[in-house]
Amino acid sequence: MIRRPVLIAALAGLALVAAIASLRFGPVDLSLARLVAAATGHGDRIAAIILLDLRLPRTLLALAVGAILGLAGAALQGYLRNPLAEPSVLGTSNAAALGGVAALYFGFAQMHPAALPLLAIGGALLSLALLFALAGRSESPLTLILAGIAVGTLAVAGTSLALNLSPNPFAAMEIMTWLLGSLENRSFQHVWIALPCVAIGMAMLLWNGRALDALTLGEDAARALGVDIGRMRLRLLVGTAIGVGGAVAVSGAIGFVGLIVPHLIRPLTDRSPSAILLPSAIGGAALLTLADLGVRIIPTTNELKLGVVTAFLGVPVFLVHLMREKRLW
Amino acid sequence: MVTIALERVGVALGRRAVVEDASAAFAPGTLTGIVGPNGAGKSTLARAMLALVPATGTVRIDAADAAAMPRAELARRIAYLPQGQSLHWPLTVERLVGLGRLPHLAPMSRLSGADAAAIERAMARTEVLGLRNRIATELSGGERARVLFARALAVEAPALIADEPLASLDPGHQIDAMDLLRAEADAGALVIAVLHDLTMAARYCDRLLIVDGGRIVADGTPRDVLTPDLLRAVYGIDARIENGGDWPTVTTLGRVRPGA
Amino acid sequence: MMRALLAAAATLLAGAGALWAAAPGAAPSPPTQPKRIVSINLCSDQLVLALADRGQIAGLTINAADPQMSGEAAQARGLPLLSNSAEQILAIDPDLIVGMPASRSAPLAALPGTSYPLLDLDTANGLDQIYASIHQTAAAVGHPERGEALVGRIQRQLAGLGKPGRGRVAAYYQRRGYMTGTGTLIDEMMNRVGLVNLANILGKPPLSQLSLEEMVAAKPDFLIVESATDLVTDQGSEMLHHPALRDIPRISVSEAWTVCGSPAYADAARSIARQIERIDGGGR
Repeated sequence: MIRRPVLIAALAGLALVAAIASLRFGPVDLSLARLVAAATGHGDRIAAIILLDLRLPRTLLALAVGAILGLAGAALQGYLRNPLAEPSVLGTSNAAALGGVAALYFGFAQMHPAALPLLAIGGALLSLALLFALAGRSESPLTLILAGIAVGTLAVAGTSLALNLSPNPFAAMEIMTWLLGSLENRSFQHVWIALPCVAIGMAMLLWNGRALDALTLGEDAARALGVDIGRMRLRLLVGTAIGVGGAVAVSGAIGFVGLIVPHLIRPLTDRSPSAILLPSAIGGAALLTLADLGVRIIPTTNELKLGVVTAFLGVPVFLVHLMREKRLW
Repeated sequence: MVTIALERVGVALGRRAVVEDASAAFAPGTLTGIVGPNGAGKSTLARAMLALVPATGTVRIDAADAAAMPRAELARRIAYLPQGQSLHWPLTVERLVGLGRLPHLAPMSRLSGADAAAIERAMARTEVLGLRNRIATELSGGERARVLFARALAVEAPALIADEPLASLDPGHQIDAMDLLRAEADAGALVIAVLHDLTMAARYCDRLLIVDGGRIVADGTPRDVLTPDLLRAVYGIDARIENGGDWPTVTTLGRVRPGA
Repeated sequence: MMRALLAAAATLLAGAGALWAAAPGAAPSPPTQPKRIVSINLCSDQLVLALADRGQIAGLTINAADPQMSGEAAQARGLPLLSNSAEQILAIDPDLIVGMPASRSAPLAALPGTSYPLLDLDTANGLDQIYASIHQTAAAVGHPERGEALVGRIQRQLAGLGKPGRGRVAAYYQRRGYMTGTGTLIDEMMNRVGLVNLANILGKPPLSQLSLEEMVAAKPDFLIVESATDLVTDQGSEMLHHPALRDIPRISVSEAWTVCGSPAYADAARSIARQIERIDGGGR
């Protein structure tokens, strides 16, 4: 266990380094001097556009999306008392993607810019409500994961169907981006969509620290310790939906961040659910920013999708937990 | 100081009535045992007192309706030790006992010196100070039960409801646990415990509620309520009850066969 | 973009030169005025529509009436549109099948025992090939004089264009950052109005991908985009509306005019020239 201020400072430092690296590297090689000049407003026009219009929004989105995914994973794990719970494993991200797809491809997003995040949030909310209804009270981790697979598969099928029904001849390519996630070519317009949602979602999730701790003892004991379980469930549901929905609306469904980060953070804390919330948010921001840096640096003809990188990191963590849980099943 | 009163309380789980028409009042400084056969509704009755299950009738805590009382308020008045608690995260013993202070924490505040002192007292009373830095999920059954007991004591509420606190304890630790409950009551707390061991209940409790089929079928001092007729009716056993010593002892002789 | 890829693939397959009546046992030449012409390619649709009588046309592709894709969509309305199905072709029993190329199309491959008169056209990567296709189609449908007239009209339209591009650099930028390179119809069109293709300067192949950063760094004088991407309808088109590109003047051309080597070539070239003049006029 590391002392909490030290842990938070170290993670914040890592996120900062990742963010600076993300601003530093891209397909066009710009010298540090040119970037610094652009950042201070004395640079040439091209460097300024590349830094401020392309790399900066992308970096901010990587930090914000990573933070909400990490935090949502930590909070859902605490609530469901299951280290495998996470927005993508539970199908929430895919359901949000379905909402985003519906907004974009059936023209709602053109009627009003808020339609995109709102439909994504709606999709996430619906999937979480369905999931909690199916398996929220079950003590078995297997029930929850199976219910998550059902919800997620349904959402993926819905996304494919929506794209095939939409009058878009490029559906296959678009499906890939929505299901694997990418921050390529994002602009400040996307930052303004995602950031308010992520901020609201984070506030609602961070609020639950103590209630989640009490839940370590089970629902009855938690209620007897003064926790209003119904309200906490509502905060978690709505907070996760708003945060993840807003993030997925601009990035697509990026998997496993909420699984990897709490898994790495937990041993560094006292292992209580409240202790991993904020560190998971900061760690998630750092992880996704590094992953997004990775997809730019790994030389591929088409830029690698972010979900590919996070899946390579996340699936081993998932398996470790599965092996550990096996005896329960 | 706190009082609890049940007024015609009923609980239905699904369509089945688990507790029916239960009325009783509990005063500070007494240790009350709730006994009865498996499935009689003992735990549900205890949970109804904490407003953990939707109930008909009224549960009054210091004359206020428990159902309308804010949860945090209720949590500060009655500590609850649920039955056979499972622990979901591998917390240290000290951190786990500290959860008992949650009802006292103001929003966004940290544990104060007073909280830390309460945690120390609770750990000292259940003799788990030496386990302070151990991981609670890795303890033996007896150690874990004492740690969870300490968690309930750390609330330092004027009332304590313990659901089968003796389960998974060896005879020595059972006596330790009952001594602790007795000491709580002697110090002025209102203590209610769901128990299975009739002799243990008779030895330590000031008062016993016998629950059968969801109803309170007897309510009084152990000497008054523990009769062979009652045990035959409620448990279906033949028992010998010796009232000669400091407390009544119950020896089970055999099962009453239906029609025999 | 997908269609551009398909067109590129077709070019590789077809090689150079038109193959006449390639199916085994086909008649050496089609009848002088075929009565049941079927076109099985979007590009040959447009040639058939421009050169044959309506009464001669027995079938066009499903996309022929789509104004986003076909330069002759208005004329195609009311004519039978076929999905890519061998059954429909059997039912029509055409006396001429026009394709690009026809002999390698999937529905004909499904009909190995039949032989219809075929006209194989080349995918056009230059104006000369467009003229050749026009002449071939005009002859095959029995109206060679219409071919002469059409080629003459295109030549007159192009002659009046001038070179408003004045050697400035333009990039033909498509969904998801695909850029059209040299050896393409687009490239020739750019040269014709006096523009230099950015892909040529960067040494890129006929179809390449260029990130937004690279595009900003290359700072072309114009971006030529497909008018279908003028509205953001998905993530692929959203990219072309990134604020980082806001300072580069934009020329929008309907893909229906450029996807095929068709008579619409002249319309596309004229539209580009006009838009350059408008940008120059408004910018000063």
